[in-house]
Amino acid sequence: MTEHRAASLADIPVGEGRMLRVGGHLVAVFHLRGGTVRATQAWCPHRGGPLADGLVGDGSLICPLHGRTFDLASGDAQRSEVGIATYPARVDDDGTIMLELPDARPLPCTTDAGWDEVAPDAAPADPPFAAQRE
Amino acid sequence: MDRERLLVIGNGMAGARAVEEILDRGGGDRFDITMFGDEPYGNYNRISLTNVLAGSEDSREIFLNPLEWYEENGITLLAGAPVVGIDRHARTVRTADGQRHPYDVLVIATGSRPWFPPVDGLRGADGELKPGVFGFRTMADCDAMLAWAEGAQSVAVVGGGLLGLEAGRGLLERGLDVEIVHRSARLMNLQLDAEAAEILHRSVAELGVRVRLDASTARVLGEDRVEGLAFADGTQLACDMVVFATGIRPNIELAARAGLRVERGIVADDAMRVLDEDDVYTVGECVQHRGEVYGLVAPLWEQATVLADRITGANPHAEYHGSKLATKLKVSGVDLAQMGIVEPEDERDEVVRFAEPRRGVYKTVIVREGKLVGAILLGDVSRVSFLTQAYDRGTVLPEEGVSLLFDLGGPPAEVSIEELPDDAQVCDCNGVSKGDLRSCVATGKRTLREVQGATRAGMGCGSCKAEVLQIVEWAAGGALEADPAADWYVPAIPMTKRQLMAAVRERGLHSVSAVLAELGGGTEDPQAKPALASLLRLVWGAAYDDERDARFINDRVHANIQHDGTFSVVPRIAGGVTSSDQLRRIADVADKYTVPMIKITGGQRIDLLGVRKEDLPKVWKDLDMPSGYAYGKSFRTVKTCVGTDFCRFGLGDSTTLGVRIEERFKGLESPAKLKLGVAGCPRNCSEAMVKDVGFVAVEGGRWEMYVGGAAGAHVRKGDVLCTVDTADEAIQMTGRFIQYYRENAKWLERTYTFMERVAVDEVRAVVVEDRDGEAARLDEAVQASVDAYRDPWLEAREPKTANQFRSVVAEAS
Repeated sequence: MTEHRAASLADIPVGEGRMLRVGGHLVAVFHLRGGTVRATQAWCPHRGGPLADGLVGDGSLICPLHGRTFDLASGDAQRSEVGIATYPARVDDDGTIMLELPDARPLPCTTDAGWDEVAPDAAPADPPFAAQRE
Repeated sequence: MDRERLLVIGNGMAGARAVEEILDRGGGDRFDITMFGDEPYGNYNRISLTNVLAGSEDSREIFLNPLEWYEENGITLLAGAPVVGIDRHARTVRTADGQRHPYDVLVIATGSRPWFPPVDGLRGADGELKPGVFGFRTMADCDAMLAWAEGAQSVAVVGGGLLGLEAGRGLLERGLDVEIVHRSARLMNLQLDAEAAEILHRSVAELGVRVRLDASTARVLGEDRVEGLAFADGTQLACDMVVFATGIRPNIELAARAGLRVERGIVADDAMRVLDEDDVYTVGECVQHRGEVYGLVAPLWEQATVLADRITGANPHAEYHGSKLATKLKVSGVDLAQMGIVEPEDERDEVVRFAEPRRGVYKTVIVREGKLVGAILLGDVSRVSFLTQAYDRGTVLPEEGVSLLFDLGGPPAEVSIEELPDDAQVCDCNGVSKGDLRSCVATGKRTLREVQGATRAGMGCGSCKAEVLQIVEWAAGGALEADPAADWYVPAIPMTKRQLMAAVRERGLHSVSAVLAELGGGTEDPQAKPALASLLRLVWGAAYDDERDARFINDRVHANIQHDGTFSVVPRIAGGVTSSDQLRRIADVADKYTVPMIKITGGQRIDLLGVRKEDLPKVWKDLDMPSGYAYGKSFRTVKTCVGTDFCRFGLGDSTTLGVRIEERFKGLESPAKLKLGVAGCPRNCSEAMVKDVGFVAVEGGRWEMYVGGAAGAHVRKGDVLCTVDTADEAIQMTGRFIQYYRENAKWLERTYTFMERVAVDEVRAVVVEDRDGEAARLDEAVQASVDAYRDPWLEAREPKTANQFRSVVAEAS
C-alpha cells in the first residue's frame, strides 16, 4: 500500500462523490457531511454503475443504476455477497485528500471472491468509461 | 470438466422452483442453464393472481424472480421463441424460430392450461374466445379480465371450485354483479361434503355472490360479444362477461410428439424422470406420477426438491412418493381449509363433526386408527396448523386427540401454535418453518414486516399470512409491534406526509440536512434524501435550500443516467410540436457530440442517448432549448394528437391545449413522474385515457378529464374526474388535481396507485366540488410552484457545485 495525494477536498461538494484519477487508478471518493472522506472502487460490481454518482448517508452508498447498497467503511453489500473494495482515506492539513491504495494494478480487483466472477460484466463496454479505464 | 447444458422448458412456478433448487445444490457451477418460457417476464406466483384480480395485491408484488435473477445466476431466459420439438436421440430442442438447442439434461415443466367445456358459442369465427369470455391462468388473462371488467356490469363465473370462488370474489371487489355457475349439486364438490358445501354456499351468498347449482352451461349467448349464458334446462342468464374456471389440462403435446410416455400427464418415475429416459426429467402440473396429476402448489415444491437432488447428485437416491393434498381457500370473508379424504372410505374410519350453521362454522375430522386422514375446517381455522401437521406426518393423535381438535372450552389457539414442532413448515411457498420465524424474532425483529422481509414468509401465495402473524406474535411474547411505519413518508421520521409538511413549516426547516437533524434524530438515510428534497421544494418553492447531495444523480446533472454511466438528453418539445429549425439544431448537436443514438420517445420528443457527462452543458448550450425533464420525478410531457388543425375527425383543439398545459406546468416537482395526454376526439390517438392526467374532446366543445391512467408496467384506464367546458378550465383543473396529488401522494406513488388508494369520489369531492373549501388554496399553491420554475439547463452557464459535470477528476499535481 502506498499513500497518494489525490484531489483537494474542495473538488468534491459536501455529501457527494466524485471519481478521482490517482496514480493511474480510478477511485470513487466521497466527501461526507461532517467533513470526513471515504474511498471505494470506482464501479459497482453488479452492472458497472459509476459509484461516485451514488447517494450517500449514514455510512452507506447507493449505486445510481440499480440501487445496490454498500457500507462505505467495510465495503459489505446489503442483501448480496458481492461487496466493494474500500481504501483508507483522510484529509491532510492543507485540504488534500490522501488515499492509501494497493500497489498492484489494475485497481478494483480485490481478494473478494465475488468480484472476479462479475468483473467481465462490470466493465462498461462503451465510452466514456472504457476509454478512461487504462 | 466441460459444463453440462441443462435446458428447462417452461418458466412457470415449477420450472423456476426446480432451477432454484438446483442452484441451491451448487448446480450453477456444473450446468449452463437455459430456460424457455411463453411469458416474456420473470416468473411469478400464479396462485396470487386471484389477489391481483381482487386488488388486494399489485401485479408487481407477485413476482417470485424478476429478470435480474436470471442474469445474476447466469441463466439464459429465452422467452420469445416457444419450443416446438424435442429430438431425444439427437438430444436437442427445437424452437419456433428454427434454432436447435443441444442439451445434456432436459427438464420439461410445461405446466397446464385452462380447460373449457364443449359449449356452443364459446369462440368467434376466428377461433379465438368470444370477446368477454376468459380463462383464468396467466397474468395476461388477469389483465384482460380487469380491463374488460371496467366496462362490464355482471359476470358469470363458470365453475364453483377453488379458482371459480376466488375469481368470483375478486370480481365482486371490482364492483361487478357476480353469479357462480356450477355443474354439481354442491360448491367445491371435490373438497367438501354436502353439509360443508351448504354452509359455504350461505357464507358466499352473504358476501353478495349468487350461486346457481346443477347448472350445465350449454351456450354462450351474443354475436360479437358476450351477452349471457344459456343452460341445458332452457334457462338463461344475462351477463356481459364470462369467466371459465372449469379445470386445467396438462400441457403434454410436446412430450407426446417427442415419443415420450404420456397418459393424462407426462409419466414420471419416483426420480421425477420421464419413464424410460435417462436424462429427461419433468416437474409440475404436466406430470403424472403414480397415476396422480396435481393442480396445487405444494406437490410441485416436493417434486422440485427430488428432481434437484437427482440432477445435481446431492442425493442420488431421492424419491418422490406422491403428495398429500391440503387446500386453503383465499376468499376474504370465508375461512376454509381442507385436507385428505372428504368422506369416510373405510369401515375403520371414525368421523367427528361439529356444525354451527348460523355462525357459518363447520368442522369435521376423519380419523383412521388414531391418525388423521381427512379434515374440513370452515369458518374457524384456528386449529389448522396443528391439523395440517398431524395429517402431513401421520402422527398418532393422543387418546384425547379428537376433543383437542375442537377447542371445546379448551385452551385458546396459541396453544396450537405452541404445539407445533419447530421444523413445521408454515410458509410452503418460501419454505419457512416455525423455527425460522422463532429465531428471526429472537434476533430482534419486532414487526411483521421486518420478519417477512428477512424470511419471505407469507410473501408467496399469502394464504399463510394469518398464521405467520400468529407465530410471530407468539414468539415475540406480546412484544410484537404494529407497523406504523407503513404510513410514514420516510422511514427515518415517524410522520405522515401531512404531519411532516406541517412540522417543516412550523419549524422553518428549509434543507434536507436540517429536517434530518431536527426530526430524524440525526440520521442521514440516503434513501430518504431525494424524498425529502421533493417535499421541501413542494413546501417552500423557490425558498427551498437546495442541497445538491440530497438529489439523485439525474437531478444533479439534469439528465437520465444510462447503463454505461452516460446520460440521455431530452429537450422540451411541448405537445410534440417542433420546427425545422429545432430539428436542424438537434441534428447538428448529434453530429458534433457523436451521439450514439437518436430516438423518438413515447412522449413525442427526441432523445439523444449516450451523452458524456462532460458534454452535457455544451449540448444544452448548442441546443438552446429548455430541459424536457425526462429524468425527474416531475411533470414531464403532454402527448397530443393533431386535433382540429388538420385532423378531419377532431372535435377539440388538442394540440393547443396540450402545449398550453405543458408550458404552464413544465418541470413541476411531483411525488412520481407525470405524463399527460390530450386527444382531440374519443378515438384517443394520443392515449389520453391511460395517462396520469388526460383530456379527451367530446361533442359540444367540452373536455372529459381522466386521471390515474397508466400504460406502463401497470395498465389502467384513468378515472373520469369531470367534464369541463373550456380549455382554461381544463388547465385550472389540471393544476388543482396535480397540487392535490403532490400534497397527498406518497413518495414515488404514481397517480394510478394513488387514485386506487384514495378513490375517485374523494378526489372529485375535494378537487371538483370543493367540499372542503380547499380549491382556491390548491390553485394558489400550484401557481406559486409554477412561478418558481427555472430551466435547470441554465446551469450550463454557471455550474452549481464543484466538478458538477466531470465524470473523472484528475489527480492533484
